[in-house]
Amino acid sequence: MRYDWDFTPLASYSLLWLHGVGVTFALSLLVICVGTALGGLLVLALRVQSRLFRVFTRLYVDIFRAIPALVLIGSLYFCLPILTGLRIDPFDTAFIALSLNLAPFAAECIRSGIESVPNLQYESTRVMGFSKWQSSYYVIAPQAVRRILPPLVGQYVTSLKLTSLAATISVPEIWHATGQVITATSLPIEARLVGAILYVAIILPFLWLSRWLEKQFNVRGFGQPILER
Amino acid sequence: MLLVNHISKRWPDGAVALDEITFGSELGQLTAIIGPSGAGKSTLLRVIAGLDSYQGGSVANPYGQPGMVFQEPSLWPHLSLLNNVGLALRILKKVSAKEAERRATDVLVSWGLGSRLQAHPADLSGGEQQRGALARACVLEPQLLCLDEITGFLDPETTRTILGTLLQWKTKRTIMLLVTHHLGFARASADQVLFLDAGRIVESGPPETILENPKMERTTKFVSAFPVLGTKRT
Repeated sequence: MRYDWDFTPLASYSLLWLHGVGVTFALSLLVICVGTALGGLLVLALRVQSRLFRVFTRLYVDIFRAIPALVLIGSLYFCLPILTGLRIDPFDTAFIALSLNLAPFAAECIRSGIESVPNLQYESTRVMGFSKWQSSYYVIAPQAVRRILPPLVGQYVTSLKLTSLAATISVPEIWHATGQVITATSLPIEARLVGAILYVAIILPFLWLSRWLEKQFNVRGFGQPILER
Repeated sequence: MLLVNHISKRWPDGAVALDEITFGSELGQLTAIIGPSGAGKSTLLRVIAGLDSYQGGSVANPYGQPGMVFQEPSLWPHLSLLNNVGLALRILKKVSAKEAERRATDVLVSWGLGSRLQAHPADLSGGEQQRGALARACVLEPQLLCLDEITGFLDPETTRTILGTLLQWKTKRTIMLLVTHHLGFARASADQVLFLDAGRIVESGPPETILENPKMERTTKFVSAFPVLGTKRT
């Protein structure tokens, strides 16, 4: 079967797509920032004294890792208004749902990174008289960050791709814009191809950045320069 | 004087880790702590260094923050050797960067690492790493130094070098507590020897007594397993 490719009509929708890229980018950035911050708070919550609090946090982490992002977005957008009368803007809904989705995964990356630093590293500072803060800042954190960063950036890429689910509640991001272009032009293959290329164009630099960061953090001597420049 | 007074410790499952351990040590003394694996030697050092809790007794340490070197390599992998040794001077002693560098370099040179200042732990041999860890502990000039089988993983030649350098530091005003299986070194260089078994001090006293004429049957059995005893260091 032969297909006649025609990209020409798509050109007039470039502003719509550009807006979609902006929305995807903004949504991703917000999700990454808030999701990581929430993840950090979850790690702290997993370390508190209260056993009950730790159990609830662990339960939250496990449940939210198990709920698919699409289910979370749909539930927040369609069910919450019925149950509470509270209607949240589609963008905010996607932002909240995807942040809640990222947080437990980020928490797991951070927790496992910190716990993978051998206890002896901490003890060697303690026995010299370092405070907990000094030990964390100068010795534990630089080692933990190297271990946390690669899997965490992997989660960021996943979150970035999951923003396409926001199209289901009409957030005007790339995939939603693509749908509008398809409706207007009846060129589903060309439009979807452009949509896919836009995602790749956003995610590829991100992947390169993560690889570059990994390399930077692998450099021997990363950390606080104490004596030499 | 360091006074360890009736220290007792139990593990969470109730097993005895340390049982009424009592001994003292004065400045300039090297105390060798010997005994079979699981005797409580490392636990005793960790208790004295403040790393482990204990249930009974007391540790009277008038000498401030002790230094400790572990059997396993414990240098900080993200920092160069110079920074490993200089960090505590900068952070804890608030010494200027220049002064910290000078003092860290001096100590590293004394441990034979003058040519490896910028190397990172991953680039160092096991012996160099352990010497680095010793330099890191020594740079703060602690008056109490707890050394937990510091040559456990090392070859005889490196062990000899490290123990030899250690003796140079012994001349300083320091108490050294050394957990070791090198009974020859303990015989030649220690001022007192504690023989531990099952968390208890079975026998303690001057090295020539404990290592050559022990009174207790358990000590005799342990010491006789080391045929190289009596090889004095020069």
